[in-house]
Amino acid sequence: MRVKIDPEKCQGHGMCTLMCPEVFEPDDEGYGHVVPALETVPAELEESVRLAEAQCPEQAIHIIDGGDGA
Amino acid sequence: MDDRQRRNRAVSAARDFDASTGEFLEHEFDTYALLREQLPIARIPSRTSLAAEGGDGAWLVTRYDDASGLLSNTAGFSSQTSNYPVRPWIPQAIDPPDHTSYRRIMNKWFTADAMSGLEPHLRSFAEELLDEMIAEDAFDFVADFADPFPTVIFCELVGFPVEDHRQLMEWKNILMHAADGHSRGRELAAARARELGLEVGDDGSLAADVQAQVSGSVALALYEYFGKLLEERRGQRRDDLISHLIDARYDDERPLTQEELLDTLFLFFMAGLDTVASVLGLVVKGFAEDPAKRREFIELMDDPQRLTLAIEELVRYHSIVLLPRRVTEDLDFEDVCLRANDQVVCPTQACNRDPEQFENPDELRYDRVPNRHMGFGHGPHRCLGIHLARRELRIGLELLHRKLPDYRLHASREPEVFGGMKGVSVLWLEKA
Repeated sequence: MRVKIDPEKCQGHGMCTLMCPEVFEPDDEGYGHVVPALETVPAELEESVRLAEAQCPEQAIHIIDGGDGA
Repeated sequence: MDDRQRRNRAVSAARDFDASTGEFLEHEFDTYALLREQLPIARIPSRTSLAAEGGDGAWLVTRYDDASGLLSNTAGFSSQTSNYPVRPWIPQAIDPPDHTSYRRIMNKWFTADAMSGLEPHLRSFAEELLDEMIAEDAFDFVADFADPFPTVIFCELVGFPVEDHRQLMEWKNILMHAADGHSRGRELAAARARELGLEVGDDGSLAADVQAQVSGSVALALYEYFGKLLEERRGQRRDDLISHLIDARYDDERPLTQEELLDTLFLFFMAGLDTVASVLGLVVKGFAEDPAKRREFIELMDDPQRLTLAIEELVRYHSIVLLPRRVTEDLDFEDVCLRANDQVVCPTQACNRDPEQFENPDELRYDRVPNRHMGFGHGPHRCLGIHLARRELRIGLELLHRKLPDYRLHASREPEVFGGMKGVSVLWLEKA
């Protein structure tokens, strides 16, 4: 699974950093970013990345190759 | 009820729409559901002075998707919506690109990290208020906790002298709650009108023009108050937002003008003094009325992630704001013809209960996923204080229920709710 944040859509609600602080970190102004080394999400964090995607009010998180086990 | 009857009911609900009346609040969610189904973009009475500028329409948008599209489209829907007591407040009534420049200055003061640093203080202050409150067998939760907790914290953060917080609350109550069911706001507004030699109805009500003059006089008093604080901080900086604002650079180039500083402090005042208090009041009133939901909350609150999800769900369920925008030019929006300067209003109370977006929306479900609620707004004007608000709600609710898991509504003193920007102004509870 790979994950991206669309910077055009992110408004800095901060839900992703609450749901999965390992993968998502806020910048100086509070907008979310994916930790570069974790753009390919380790298997043990996939569930919380999916949770972050599901709670993002701006639908700014995109999961790529998100099929189970893919 | 058949389809034609539902349609007729929706038409009259739109025609009579006024979210600030007690009658409306009694059937609030049924009315929004009916409108969402029958008239998702409904023509409502226009009460703004925009009418004088050419736009005479006002529309209520009750579907989540419509509202989220509209709130993200800042070119088509401006945040500068009506006449302001002095000038449009910054940054809430300003559109991009200027809005972006202001938010760049302010966002960094309100980040999650910055607000996490406040947590020990939030906890100890909440404890102090709660211990004092529950020393009595019966207490007004709003007066003893929901109002003072976020207000004092906000005063400290911005740099309003804490000893002024009651005066600031009174000014806020006149500006925001003169005619929405908030009895203290109504009394204060009537008293102010009398001081100004203006006419007050026998029942304490104010005519629209009198209310505007009262608001204007309070706004001027506030601007004078802010001006004095700015002068003091120019002489000697402190670690507060007033000092940071004075030293801020717009687009890294120029300091903010005196007018910009005042308009920003006015917005901080309007946005910071009411919102968390309102949500705390609504949540605890809900818990007093539904002990099973309260117990369910108490059971989950030791688990940080479940508590985080639960707080978001409570914000969705008890949404308080109606988000207004002004149409910038004639356009077709979802097959409705909107004219330039028409006002559109997105009640988060309605959008956050759209069944297309939220399964069983009228059910409080602490583990709701997905939960893309717009309780903190949507789009570029997303609540600046979101990270502070979340912490205050989490800490306030957690500590209250650790100290006092069982309580109920007072047997004889009725709660008082207000509408429009929704909330609870009086909430007497007693220990169970």
